[in-house]
Amino acid sequence: MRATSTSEEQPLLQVEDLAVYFDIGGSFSVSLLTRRIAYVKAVDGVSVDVGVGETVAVVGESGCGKSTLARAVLGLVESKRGSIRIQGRDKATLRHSKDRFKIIQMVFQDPDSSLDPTMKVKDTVSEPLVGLSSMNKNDREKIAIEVLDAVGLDSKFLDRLPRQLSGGQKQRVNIARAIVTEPSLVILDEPTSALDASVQAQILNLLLDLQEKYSLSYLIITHNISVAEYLSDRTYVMYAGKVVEHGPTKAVIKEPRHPYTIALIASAPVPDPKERNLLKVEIVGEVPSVINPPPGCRFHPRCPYAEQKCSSQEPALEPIGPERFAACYFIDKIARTTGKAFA
Amino acid sequence: MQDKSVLDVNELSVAYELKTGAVRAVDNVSMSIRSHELVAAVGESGCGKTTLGLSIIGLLPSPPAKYISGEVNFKGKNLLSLPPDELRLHRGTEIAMIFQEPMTSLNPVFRIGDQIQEAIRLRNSRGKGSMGNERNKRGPLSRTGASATRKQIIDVLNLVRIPDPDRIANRYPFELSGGMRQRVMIGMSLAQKPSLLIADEPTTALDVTTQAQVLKLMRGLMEDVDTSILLITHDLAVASQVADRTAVMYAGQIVEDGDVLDLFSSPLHPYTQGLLACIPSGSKEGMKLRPIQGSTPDLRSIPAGCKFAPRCLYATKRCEAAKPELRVKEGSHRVACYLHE
Amino acid sequence: MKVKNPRTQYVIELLTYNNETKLGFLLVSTIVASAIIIALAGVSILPYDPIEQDVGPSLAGPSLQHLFGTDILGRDVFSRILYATPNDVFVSFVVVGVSLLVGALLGATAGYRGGLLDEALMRCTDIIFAIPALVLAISIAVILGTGVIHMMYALLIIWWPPYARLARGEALRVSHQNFIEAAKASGIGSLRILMRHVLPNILTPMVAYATIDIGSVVIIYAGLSYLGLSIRPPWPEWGAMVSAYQDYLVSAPWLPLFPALVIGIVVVAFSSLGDGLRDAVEAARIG
Repeated sequence: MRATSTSEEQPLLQVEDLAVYFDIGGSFSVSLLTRRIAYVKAVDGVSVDVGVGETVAVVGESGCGKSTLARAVLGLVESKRGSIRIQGRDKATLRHSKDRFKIIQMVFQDPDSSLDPTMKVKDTVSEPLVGLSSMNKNDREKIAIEVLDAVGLDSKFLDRLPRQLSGGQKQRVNIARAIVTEPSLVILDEPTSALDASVQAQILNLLLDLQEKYSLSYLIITHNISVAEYLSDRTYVMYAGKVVEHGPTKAVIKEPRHPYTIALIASAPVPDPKERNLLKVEIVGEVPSVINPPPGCRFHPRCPYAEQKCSSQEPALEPIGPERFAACYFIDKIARTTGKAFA
Repeated sequence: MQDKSVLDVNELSVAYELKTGAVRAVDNVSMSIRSHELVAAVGESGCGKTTLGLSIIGLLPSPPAKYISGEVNFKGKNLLSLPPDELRLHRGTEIAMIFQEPMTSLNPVFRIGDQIQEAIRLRNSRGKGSMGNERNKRGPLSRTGASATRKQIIDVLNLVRIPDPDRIANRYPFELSGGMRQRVMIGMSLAQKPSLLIADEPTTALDVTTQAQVLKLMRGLMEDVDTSILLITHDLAVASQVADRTAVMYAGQIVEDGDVLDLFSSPLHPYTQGLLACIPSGSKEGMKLRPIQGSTPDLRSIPAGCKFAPRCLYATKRCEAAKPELRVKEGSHRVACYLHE
Repeated sequence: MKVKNPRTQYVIELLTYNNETKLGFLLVSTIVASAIIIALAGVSILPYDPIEQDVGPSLAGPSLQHLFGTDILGRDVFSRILYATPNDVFVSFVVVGVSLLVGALLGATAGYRGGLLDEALMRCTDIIFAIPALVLAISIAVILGTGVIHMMYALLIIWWPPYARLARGEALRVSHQNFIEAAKASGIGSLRILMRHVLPNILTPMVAYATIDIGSVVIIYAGLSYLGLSIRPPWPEWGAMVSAYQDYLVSAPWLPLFPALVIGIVVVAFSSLGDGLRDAVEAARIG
């Protein structure tokens, strides 16, 4: 489903300058003694938009903050600063409305730990309806059955426990649970990472079908570039708690501009032995610590284009093309010699 | 490239005896690895690739697992016929293995340098170059002459391109990232100068950029250290990037194998074709993915005939009746399918 | 054996996990069944009246009429042992059952909620844990008098801390699983999450521990009876019988040995079952 321009319509989700810090003070008594307050700056000033009917991907490696971002949007973690608006309404005001569970839902990572091992499939899927309205058990069950059917699980799965399900089936139950309240936005946290290739393909197609059938918007969190490319209209690239580049998916992936994005795309293995991009890639270093991120641009210690400016002042996201943004001082210079340093 | 074969697996069958029945995890597998070659064994979960790897190095837990038939010929000698002591001498020195989760391979209470030292000492005490019939004249427990020097330890870290090796050697495993730990594991394994390194999903738990670094390292080291690699992975793309030859496994059997260029440009077996069609490329507006219908079979109740037949678009009565053999189609490209006979 | 209900299927799998579990289950079932039957049917199904004297010759050794012999008052030891079965089984089941419940609730709440509540509950647990069973039992006997119910009070007061600890540990593990987050994300309230999601998931390892623990209660309770704090003569109780008959160890060894043996068998039965269950739960967790 093609995304409409978000300038007339209000975006479904609007995250602005979000920061989520985790206190790693240790035990109560230790922090009394040492008085040291250290934070994991998991998300440090991130702005993301999702329009109605759109699929937006947030891509990045471990520790970049994408999962934390998802949890903050859902309200599972507290944010230090920044705003989250859903359908124009602030999260704080939404907190008191019963609607918030109806509007956003999430499909969690790892299908195994996302399902209560002691609950039958039909109960797991109908549980989100409990707090919602005054439906009785039978009505809830009826809706659960409908939704399970929509994800491809027929009635024989109703009374099964998770231990009797395969990985793909568990993920379908997860998805069913996420859409049972008819949300407008579904956040998917690594929806296919734990699955085999053939199952992954089935789930991806299912997600597309459901999106059309139920008019859903998706926010997909993934480290898998090809999944992001396949499903999403726009992509945000995160590194060490910040967004370094974003724009229409095709553009970001086919012509990455930020050095990190270039490195990320170059490292993604392509199933073509004639194009051995992996062996040509030259990436040094590791993802940085988010407790003490490098000063200035967080990527500068690993960036072949880095100069003095990069280690002292952090670049802001600037427009670099139609609906494209990147946070780097040398976008033009890099574009002229695209990818040569990395591949 | 020499043609001498380092590993020759011949009609190997291994089963697990569970309470619920016997499961044939590896079913009549024959494959070989030449020197300086990287062979990828690719398949989804349950296809038997890990069991194959463990069988070769002899690390299968023997009560549930059982060797039913076949040989594992390593440099001419059948490892399955060796007594456990002799087999142990091969393990680590001639054949090394690294696993998916480096944290459980490294001892958390010892520093990196100490663990590398242990690996080097092992190599020295076993007198490299032997086929298990020589030992260091002073005995394996002798310390003199068998310890590693600090330089040797740093050399290992340098081999796997770990920056600042002096500092890293003094660190504990938990202080290193996943990628670094895996590189230490690779270093420790290759320090033994094995003829064969078996890598079981070595990069699956790593980030994409780290994966690229580690794969590139492994490929590069093959020349320097004179070793062959058996790479076990579920990711066809990874295989295409680093392998010389690739074997596709399904339900315990090799359904297709051959030179990586041949396999990817003209995949013969319907399962291989299906797997390739599953890899998302391009956007949803382009080609919609064509997943393979059905799901992997329950290995406890295998029907007669080709194991892939229930999911195969081209299955015929013949396919359901008898299993097709793995036959050469052209050159080194083999396939087990009646469509190509 | 395949049963339609997956939960029942799971329980059956646990109970038949290995030979130890199967044997344990068999013995435990026999013991519990015996206890229930004897409790309901009373004296009538026993070979002899357990407190009736001179049903046989005094201090007679084991024979066909008196399987475990007779004591100095001519009472049938076998009938006495059987008659005492419901007593120990009842006390141990009640103590373990209540401790399991109380411990599970307190520990799960502490583990799930964390913070100050966790600290407070755990310190209370520690305090109770420090009270020695015997001292408390004797104190209660002094204040309230001896007897089965009073001894049960003593045990109930101090038996639950290990369960609270166990429950807390398990609850901590469970609380970090994604399905708890999923429930929160669906707007499920804390109480329901605790009751419906946390408690059922911590139950299985706790039941395994509880099964072994029944044997421990039997031993302690037998010990208290041995000291004369529990049931009063002429009513029989295993521990009290060991105490009463210990002087006959040389002259009429069957007298102290049979009750002691029965205590041993009961403890072994529950321990085997519990041990096997613990292995089964571990295996299920890994596999």
